[in-house]
Amino acid sequence: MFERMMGILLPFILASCVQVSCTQESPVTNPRQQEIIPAEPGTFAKGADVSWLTQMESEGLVFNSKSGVPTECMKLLKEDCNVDAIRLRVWVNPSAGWNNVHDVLVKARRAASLGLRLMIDFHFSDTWADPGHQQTPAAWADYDLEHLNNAVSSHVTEVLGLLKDFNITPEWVQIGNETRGGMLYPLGSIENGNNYAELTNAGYDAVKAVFPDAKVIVHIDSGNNLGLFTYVFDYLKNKGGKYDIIGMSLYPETGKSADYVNKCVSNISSLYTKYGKPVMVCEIGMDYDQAEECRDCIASLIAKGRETGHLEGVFYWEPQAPAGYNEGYGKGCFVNGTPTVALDAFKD
Amino acid sequence: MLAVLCLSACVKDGDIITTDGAQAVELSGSGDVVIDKNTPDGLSLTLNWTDNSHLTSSDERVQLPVGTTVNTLQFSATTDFQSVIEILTDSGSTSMQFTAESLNSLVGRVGLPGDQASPLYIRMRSVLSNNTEPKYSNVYQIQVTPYTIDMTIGFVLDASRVDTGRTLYSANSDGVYSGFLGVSGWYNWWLLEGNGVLWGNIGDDGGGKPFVISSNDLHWNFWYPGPAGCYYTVVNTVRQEWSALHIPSLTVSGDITGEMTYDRKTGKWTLAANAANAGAATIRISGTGKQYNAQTGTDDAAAIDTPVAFGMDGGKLTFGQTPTDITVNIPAAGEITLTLDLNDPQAWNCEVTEGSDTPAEVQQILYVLGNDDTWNYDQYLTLYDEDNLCYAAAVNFNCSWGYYFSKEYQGWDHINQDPNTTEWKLILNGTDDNNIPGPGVGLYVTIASLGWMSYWYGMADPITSVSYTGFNDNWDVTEMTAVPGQVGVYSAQVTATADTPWGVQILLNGSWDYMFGTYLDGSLRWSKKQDGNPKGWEVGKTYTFTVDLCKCTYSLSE
Repeated sequence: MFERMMGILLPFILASCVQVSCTQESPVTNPRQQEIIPAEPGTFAKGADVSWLTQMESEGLVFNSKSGVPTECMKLLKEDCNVDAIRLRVWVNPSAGWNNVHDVLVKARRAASLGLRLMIDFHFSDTWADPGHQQTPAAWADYDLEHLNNAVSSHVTEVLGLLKDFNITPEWVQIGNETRGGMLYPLGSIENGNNYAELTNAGYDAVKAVFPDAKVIVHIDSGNNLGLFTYVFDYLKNKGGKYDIIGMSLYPETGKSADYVNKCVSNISSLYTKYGKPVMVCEIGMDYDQAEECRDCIASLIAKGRETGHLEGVFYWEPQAPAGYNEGYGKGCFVNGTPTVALDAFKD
Repeated sequence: MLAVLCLSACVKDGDIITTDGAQAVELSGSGDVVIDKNTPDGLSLTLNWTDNSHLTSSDERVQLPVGTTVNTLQFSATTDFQSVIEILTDSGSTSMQFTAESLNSLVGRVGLPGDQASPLYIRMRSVLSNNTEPKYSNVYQIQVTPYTIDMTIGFVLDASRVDTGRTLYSANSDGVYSGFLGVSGWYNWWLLEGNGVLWGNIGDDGGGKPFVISSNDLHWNFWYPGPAGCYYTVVNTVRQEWSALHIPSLTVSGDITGEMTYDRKTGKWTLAANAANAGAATIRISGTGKQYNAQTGTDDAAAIDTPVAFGMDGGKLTFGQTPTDITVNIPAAGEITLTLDLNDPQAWNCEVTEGSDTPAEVQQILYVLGNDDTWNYDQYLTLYDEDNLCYAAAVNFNCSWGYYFSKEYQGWDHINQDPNTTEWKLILNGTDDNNIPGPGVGLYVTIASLGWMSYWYGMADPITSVSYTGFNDNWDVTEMTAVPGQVGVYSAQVTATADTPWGVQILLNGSWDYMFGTYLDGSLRWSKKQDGNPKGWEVGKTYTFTVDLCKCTYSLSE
């Protein structure tokens, strides 16, 4: 049996010298080096898309905990808002660099070091992909369908392979963003025969080749509008399109959030009944100055969605965005760099 | 070899616990870059490295503190890393990103030429402490094509490193920047080159050394000598020194004659005159300046008398020591204003305009009359905010008929309470009927702004105690004693044992919110102070430190 001993470190760590108990039974742990416990895969996701984060930091934005302490944003979201998952968009070759594969890696590593789960959101574009924009990357502009399939596969493999090199495993991978009319226009339009389904499958197969357990999401906007979903998922069903989860965006209007939630929850049930796939709300947001309604809206969505048994999680889109960011975005939920009460909905 | 990190003595067995020390990281990045000057805020380069923040110990039961390893990125144009630019990374971080602007600035300092691809070598230096051997990562090599940086402009930043909009000019992009700057006394500033290099006075034994410049991490900002006004300023980054030629006055001779007046806010010299005729006129402009440089320091007595003169060459104004003819056009006979505009260091301008447009000099004090029922111009407030013409001082009140302010000594001009409002507003050319009521009996910090035309009191209560803090960089608070018979004057003993790098604060009524601060010229300013040793401060001496809160002065007497 050993006696108690005092570890004397070099002067630079004198202040944190380790007190070591000389017993064989248990390790001695300095409180500051507690291992991060990762969020448990497969559980309900309370997520945030923070793809703007590194760009914002380069612009000098600082984020503060609710107690006013400057804090790294993902850490703040985890500790102050119960966020346990991060969503990151990927652009192929963006002109300003942000959201390219290397930028995604930086944010993904940061999320992983905090034990946060990860969703990768492939836009298959050099810029925003949404219902009105599905612009094919400039480097792929002249590709025929075969080349485009290969490009999708290669891009997914490159991005996910890089994450794998850094021991990061995304739990979800989104193939296309808000693809209500297909993606990679014009060739990948849903009105262009099997093309959109083929491209989706190219992405799906590439994901599974790198991360067999990752769940692939096909994501459509307007989660309160069932018709948009049946249009796309009927198509995929008919064309043999592969996916694991139906992704939704939901941006309720002020004063109408309850109605949005009720329709969305109804759609979750309907979609599961029809396609047998659960739903992930990949994006949600409300006007930054409607924090309480936003909180109640998300809380209601989570409660009612979970009751269906088919809602797998909710991700707030760019919560850290200050009002008016990026030429006018106003649906973040931070004011003066600090979270509003909106994300209190994530607290149990 | 294992670095001994932790020597832990168990009473019985004397175990020694060791750690491998800092671990070299594996460095990778986003690859070759052609830096796009059109997207300065765009992402150009991302570096990633493996996490080495967790140390391991020889005893698995002992876990060591996280984040003690110091990681410094080194950038070099050569494989031997003989000359490097270093960037200290945040503790525990594993990546760093560079925008186009920041990368271009960085590789400019590394020495990569513009508009051509050149290799950039990057590695990480990791150490646990200064007395341990560093570990180096792999060398990550990329090709970088920077854009050419304009090195003709030196940007003048204020003490907070905020761009003032003023510039110096280096016509040959040779690192020598010059131009005229209008400054207040002891003005603090920095010079930022186009490649991102920031210049200030060299740090020297814990203080900055005037007129010897440096761009290393420990440098101080530049500061001008005491006299406010127009300075011809030359920053020579090659010889690593700067100089300031103070021009107190300029005389115009020839077809227009007179003494010019300088307005440092506009950076212009002006002279109002009467012209007998319109048309071309020939003038000469000259004066005598005081040259401050690395030899003279900021010592006014040591400053060198130096002729200054303007001339004209090829239609452009020139500056030197010998005047030559300057031709100007007088638009019309009668009242005219000659203006010498020295703002743009690339194009000084001299012209004549119709009418009189000369700026008034900023008054340094504002008299207070009637505060103690005397009307003798012996009490005044002192300017502390020139932009808003704010004046402040402690004023002893015991008045029966109120008080008023006056700008000119024995000019009897009245600046009184504005009778049209109950707010604390001032009006020029008031009357005794509108005197300002006193705040009570006692010593009050009194403030007046001729910019906002308002007045107020620094504290609601009169001054009841005075203390100082900051001497010897010691921020303990020491009470001062009122000097009998001298209202507003307080003193205390102080021994100089070290530098006083941040100046001294005079705290009122024990509050850090209400203070006068020392300036290097022996004055006090309300709510402000100037960094640096107070006037007369010499380590090793013991002083009686005396402040006069009414006159806004201080002294150190042995």
